[in-house]
Amino acid sequence: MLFNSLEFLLFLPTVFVLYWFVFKNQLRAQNILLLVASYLFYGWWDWRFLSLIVLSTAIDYWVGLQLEKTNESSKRKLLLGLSLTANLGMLGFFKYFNFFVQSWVDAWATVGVTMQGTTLEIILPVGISFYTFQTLSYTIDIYRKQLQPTKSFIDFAAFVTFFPQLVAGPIERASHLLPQFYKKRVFQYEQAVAGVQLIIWGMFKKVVVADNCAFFVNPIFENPAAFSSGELAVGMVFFAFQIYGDFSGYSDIAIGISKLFGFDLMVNFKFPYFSRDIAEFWRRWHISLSTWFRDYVYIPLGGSRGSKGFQLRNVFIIFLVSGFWHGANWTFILWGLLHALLFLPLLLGNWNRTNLASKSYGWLDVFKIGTTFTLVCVAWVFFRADSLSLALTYLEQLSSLDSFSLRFFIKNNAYTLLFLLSVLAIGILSVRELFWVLQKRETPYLNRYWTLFLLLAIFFMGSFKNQMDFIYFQF
Amino acid sequence: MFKFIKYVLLILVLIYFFLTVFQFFSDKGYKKSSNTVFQDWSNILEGNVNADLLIVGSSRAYFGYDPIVFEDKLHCKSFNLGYSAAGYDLQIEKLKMYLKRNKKPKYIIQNVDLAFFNEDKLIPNENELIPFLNDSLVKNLLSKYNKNYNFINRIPLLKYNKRFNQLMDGLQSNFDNNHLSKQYFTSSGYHPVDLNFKIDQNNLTRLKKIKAKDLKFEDKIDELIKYYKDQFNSDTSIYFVWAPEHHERLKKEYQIEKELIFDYLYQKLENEKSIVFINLCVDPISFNDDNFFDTFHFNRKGANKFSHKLVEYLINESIN
Repeated sequence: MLFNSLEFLLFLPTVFVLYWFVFKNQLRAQNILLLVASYLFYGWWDWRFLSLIVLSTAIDYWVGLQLEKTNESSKRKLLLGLSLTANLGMLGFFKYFNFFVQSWVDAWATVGVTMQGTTLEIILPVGISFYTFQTLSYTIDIYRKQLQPTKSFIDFAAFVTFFPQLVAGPIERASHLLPQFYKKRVFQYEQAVAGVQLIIWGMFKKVVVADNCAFFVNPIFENPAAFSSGELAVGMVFFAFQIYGDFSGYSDIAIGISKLFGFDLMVNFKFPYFSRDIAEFWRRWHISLSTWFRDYVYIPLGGSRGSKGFQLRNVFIIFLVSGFWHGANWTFILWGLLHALLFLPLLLGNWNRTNLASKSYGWLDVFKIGTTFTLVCVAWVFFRADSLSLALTYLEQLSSLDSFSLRFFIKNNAYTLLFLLSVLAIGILSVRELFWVLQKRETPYLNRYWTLFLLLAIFFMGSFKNQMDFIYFQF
Repeated sequence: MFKFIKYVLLILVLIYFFLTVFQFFSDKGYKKSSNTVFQDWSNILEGNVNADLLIVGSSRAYFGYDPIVFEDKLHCKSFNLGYSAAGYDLQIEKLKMYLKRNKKPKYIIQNVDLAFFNEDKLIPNENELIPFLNDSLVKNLLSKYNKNYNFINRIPLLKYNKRFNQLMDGLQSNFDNNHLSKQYFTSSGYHPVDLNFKIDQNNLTRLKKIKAKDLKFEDKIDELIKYYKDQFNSDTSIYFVWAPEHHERLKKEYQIEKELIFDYLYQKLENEKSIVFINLCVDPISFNDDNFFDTFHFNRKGANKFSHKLVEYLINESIN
């Protein structure tokens, strides 16, 4: 079920009414309702893959309980290994099996050896990368004795499948979200209103900014050779806003919906396009994933301790793994590598913590923001392109500076209007976020006039007819 | 909780109000845009047409029969109910919608052509109907082809989603309708086209592949005759007309399939008193490119010539 679908328009109020009116003050019943609603929400897409979630939930629930019972190091390692193998095994099979087989065959082909590789017709279960990481955080935290396992299977299953963030995050830590299932939730007006505002803001980003940008981005990235340098430059910027609108829009809606049910999810985006360097960008972009990698991969590897060479190794590992997490394609790996390379000078010069969010903005920062945004946009080309060769064609054609014509955008009235609307939408998004950055806010805030204006914008400018999936569903 | 519900309701009421106002004025603009296809639909749905002579058919009817000519010569109110790009089902659907709100005509001219036998998989020119989606007849018609139309009109303005130009045109039409695209202009339902002939090679190539048998023309003709006989009594005279075809389409390779349809029509209507088949497929009009804008459609000049010719024919052969 998509947040921007009409089914969800019926689903959400129904669950809300049952939750606050029928099961009011019944914590267990509310958790069961959330679990059932979450299974329905996920099963709406493909009920067969519910079995994977249930299996993953059951394994980690059992592992959690067993970890509590034993202090024996080898047994604890074995249990953790079981959880890692089961979860990463499922993720690896569904997401990476074909990639590894094909890469193996291609690698031998480069030295003239022809091999037969068997690829399978595998459907990637929606959200598998997200809920796998979420359940892993649970077992790892218990293994590290930073978290007590839950005795309630319902609470744990509801935590794993919590529908607002099930398919595209934010990837919650068990230590943050799970305890919220134990406590009685009290309806709070301010929290609920903030939730509604976030839903509206997220919806604006998704259906007005992202989906309208997609109209131009898709044909440009399908065949970059057919477009002028000017069109490719605009296409690249449009994709930057598409992916941001799409993913952060989803996160805002997820956080907003959670607030309606009395839950607080972690902030996933802090206005990343106002970052002054790549390090700051990663402190502001997909925060739940970058902090997950920091806590469960980077720090166990040694983090920023040790020699520069050791630190560099860790940084490269983290960015490459992060790229690979996004998809089984060399384009994502190269995207991660590119970010690692952009991070490199900051690490070598010890400048990676220069631009912290708390630091005020000066005029020089405008230049830094522009530069960082440009670099991020170039890296997005690899992220969006269907293949490495298409990404390289895109950048080659872009850098040829052959023509700055924007014919594609202005070739007829409908395109021109849509183009102007998209630019207007991007403008509204950027101005609002600049305002919030200057106010040192972490989350958006809308007064009633803005709420009304955005709702009208969603109706007037939103793209509903060609309803598009959220991009991050594929990860 | 009460305060929150009040907050949500306030947002919903305000947004509903704004959207309803915009939709109301846009729909209103279309309804009053004179001499357009929108006003034609409005008149049909509001029962303001009530013509004595009705022309039914596909784009060949829509572009090819000038009701003013019929009106002048026959002295009866005439209206062109042609539906561009529509096959049998949609042509009859439009007629049914018309008859639900307007009086029965004295004469019906049913244009028959190869397009008549096409299956209607999509609703053509959907945007013509969007301003009237709140009308149950239109909603029922559209929802047969797209189930979403069952609920789209429940949320104001949703029907104009991704049709921003159309919404703005509707709003602007409250003040003047000259800004509307020429493609929407009509005269009693007829759309004259002022274009010179240009050969439509793609259509001719496609036509080569059409076999009369594949069109299941017998079933559709039987159905059509049955419909007219059930629906109308002897007070209404019905004419099935095959209008002149462009000479390119009269070549043997195309004509052979049409002959099968003609034969069947003659055979079925042989003993029918209330339905007459007028076959003008091969006519002097056919052999002058100046009368067509492509091989399937008359331009204004051709439509005028043909309409005069058909009127004369009706006066001489049938009506008198």
